Amino acid sequence: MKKSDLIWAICDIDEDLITDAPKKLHRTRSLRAVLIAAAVVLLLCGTAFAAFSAVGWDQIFSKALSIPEDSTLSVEESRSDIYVTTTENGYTYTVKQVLGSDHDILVALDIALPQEVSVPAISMSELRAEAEENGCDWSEVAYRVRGYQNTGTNETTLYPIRLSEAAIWPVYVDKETLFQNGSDGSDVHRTLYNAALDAFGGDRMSGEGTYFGSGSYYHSYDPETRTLSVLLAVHSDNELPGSDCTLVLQALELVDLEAAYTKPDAEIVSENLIQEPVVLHFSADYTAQSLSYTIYQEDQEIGTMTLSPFSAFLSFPQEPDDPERLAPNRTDYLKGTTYETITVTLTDGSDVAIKQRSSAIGTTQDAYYYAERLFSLEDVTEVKLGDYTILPQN
Amino acid sequence: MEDKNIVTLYEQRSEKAIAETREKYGSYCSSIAYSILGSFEEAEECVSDTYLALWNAIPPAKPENFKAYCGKIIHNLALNRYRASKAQKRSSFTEVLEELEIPVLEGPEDALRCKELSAAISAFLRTLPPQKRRLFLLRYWHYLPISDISQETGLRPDKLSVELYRIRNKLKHYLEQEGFDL
Repeated sequence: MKKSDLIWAICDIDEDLITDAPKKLHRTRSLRAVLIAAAVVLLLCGTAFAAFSAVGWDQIFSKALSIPEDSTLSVEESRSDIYVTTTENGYTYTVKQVLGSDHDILVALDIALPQEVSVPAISMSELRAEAEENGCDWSEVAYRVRGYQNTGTNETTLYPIRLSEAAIWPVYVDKETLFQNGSDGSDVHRTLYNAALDAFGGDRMSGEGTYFGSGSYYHSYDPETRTLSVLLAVHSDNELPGSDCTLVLQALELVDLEAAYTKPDAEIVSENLIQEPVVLHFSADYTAQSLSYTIYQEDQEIGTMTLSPFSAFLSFPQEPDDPERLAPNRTDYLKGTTYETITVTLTDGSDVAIKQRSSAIGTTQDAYYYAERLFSLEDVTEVKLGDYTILPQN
Repeated sequence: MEDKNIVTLYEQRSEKAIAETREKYGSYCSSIAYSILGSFEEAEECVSDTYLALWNAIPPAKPENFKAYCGKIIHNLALNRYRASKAQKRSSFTEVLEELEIPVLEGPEDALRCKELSAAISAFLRTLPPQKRRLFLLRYWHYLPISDISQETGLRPDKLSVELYRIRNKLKHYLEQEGFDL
């Protein structure tokens, strides 16, 4: 037998022996997991970012969604200028703009650092030289530090700072209420979660608050202005336009990357610059733009798609009528759908790829996708998804 | 909702089964997956896959201990995902592999023999005092970090490591006596 058979065998021990892990550990993990689980892994690869800002758009949107400088896209009503600011312990946090659809919202956030905080600029080439000198595998080192490169760039300098925990909930909860149970992060999120449950009745809210977690999918640090710009993404099963949102920032990490290039297995140490959770409120004051489609598989209607200028939401609410599609074929049926890339063809003949941001959250049949670039719904001529037929609803 | 009612929902092909599973055992599954994968994103994907696996398995499966059944499914899915990953992240599971001196996690070689090994480990665990059995399970089934187990049990990390070392040695001798050559 192989030694690793031990792992599989322990996994399969008698069920009555399996005891619970401590609940408090589950809970802590769960909340962290929720926050970061919904973090978007938007594939911005291959996008060349120009150093401009399209008229009216915050630069982070221009970069993340490849909005041209002379943009005439008819999507402005989906956008709202916010500019809500708070300063705590010398850090200035500003919610600048939001871009939203019925169920998704992107939030542009700036964090300006105080003078006394020093963020080192780490040269990738020097890092590599040191890693190799220390006998570390460069590919492994590169993997460990890649999260500190400004998103979507090929810059050769790392800034080891990032917002690592944040949550946005489409419900207003004042700061006093949030902190009434102390400033412990898990309490703050539990309070937010309970408030959302109260506000929305819990119909599609289940125990983990998955629908309201958020994480950053785009970040960029500018050493000249000492500002970290972050784009946060949130999905909600409840309608977002017009909702009052509470944003909680929990962990802004300044990271000591030394371990990454000295000892491959050592933990990377970080310092949380946020003393206690920072709270901002803003109103998602925009009008959602959307197109509705029906998804067919071999003439069988299997689901719906809601397209916005930057996202797509797929839902497969019904069991297929055809019993052949039920389990065990169901796995392929669902997986095949949820992992495909959606292609939107525009009137100018160009295609926009819309990729899944995570595996199904919500019911296993739902899936959320984000576009690699912003587009106008009025320019959409065709939507494709693998072998499925996507037709507009009347 | 009671477990047996959740199982009934699966049998009735009601999608509420998944919502109820997530409500009751979502965090439990996330915790196991995260301990193995060391990535929140991957753990959540794995949890979603678990719901799908449950949907496909029940019926015909009719688990008596639904929680443990969920736990086993997510274990298997997360272990397979860990194996398939080209860039495995450091996790408490990685530490467990090191403790058990397993350089690479491979798939089970012989399913039948693995079943026998599993039965032998179950029998061994029944010989342990409850506290030691719990230590073993927290570390080698839940893959909790030593610091978390220390917090839970009140044992100092160094003492805990020694206890786990002794249990591993006992298991090794037990399995050798039972004819397992690992």
